[in-house]
Amino acid sequence: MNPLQIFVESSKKLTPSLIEYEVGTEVEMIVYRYLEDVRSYYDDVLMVSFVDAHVAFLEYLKRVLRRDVLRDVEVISLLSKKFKDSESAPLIAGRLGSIIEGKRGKILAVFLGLDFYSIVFSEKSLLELFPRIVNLTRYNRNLNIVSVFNGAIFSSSVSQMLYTFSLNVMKLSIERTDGDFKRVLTIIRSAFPEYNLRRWHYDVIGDNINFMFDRSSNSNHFKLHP
Amino acid sequence: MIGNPEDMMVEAVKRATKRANPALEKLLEVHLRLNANSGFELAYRDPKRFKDFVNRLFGEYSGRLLEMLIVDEIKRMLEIGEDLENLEKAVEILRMIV
Repeated sequence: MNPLQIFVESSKKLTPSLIEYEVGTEVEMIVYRYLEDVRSYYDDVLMVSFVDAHVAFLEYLKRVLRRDVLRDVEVISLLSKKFKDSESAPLIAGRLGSIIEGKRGKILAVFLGLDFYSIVFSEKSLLELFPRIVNLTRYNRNLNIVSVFNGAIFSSSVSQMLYTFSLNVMKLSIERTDGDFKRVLTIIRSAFPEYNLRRWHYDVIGDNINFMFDRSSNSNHFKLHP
Repeated sequence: MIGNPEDMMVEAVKRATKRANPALEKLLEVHLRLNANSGFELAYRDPKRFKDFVNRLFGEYSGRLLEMLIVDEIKRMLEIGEDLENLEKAVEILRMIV
């Protein structure tokens, strides 16, 4: 299995999931590939977008893929510049809860722009909101949650909270070695302990992602499955 | 205290890039020099073009995050609570206030 397949399978078993990314990791393509892989598993896929985060996400995909994508994904836009709705955490959670409660079958909710929300409002707002997002599963037991978030730009209390509440975590980072930049994907936490803390270097070429296992993250008990 | 609005913008870009990932400051600077024949001052002189170059380098999603961080830095430097949506608005405010 490649690391994305590990994350895909793990996110079906454990929720909530977190994709933590850094600037420059082409997180858009990772999320797109993730959505492509899991789409048939769910009856409904919701993209919950804060502060128009989905617009930037879709702009990237249109530029790179040169076609309309994710047409069967329902976008729920919150705090868009077009509609000034409330930033109150209980109100946002209540609105999402009522949408999710009415859905039948397996549901995936992908949260984009929680980091945007935190920049525009405050870290405190996010600290109030995120536990409520995690709790949305009480509205519907068939709900799986994935958050896409840049943790590096916030204080450690934000990162700690995200990690505490997320059972399945994948981290995308940039590593500088010998004057060169490499993208790194690390499985931090998953349903498959043998893969936890394993790392892969990856390149995005067009709509392909090429993964290369980082053997330095290997250990004696770990067997690599190509 | 930085008095010149263009210098303020350059400083805001540096601070935002450092917040995002310190290793990327130099990368963005080199990318702008090679492709736009400019430095961070492009963010002040032509914010839309600056954003295009940032998006090409980092992707639109990370580009938008970086833009929000730059705007956030400008708000901190000017000590304003104004709701600034984008870099173009931040440049307008800089031109008016500074």
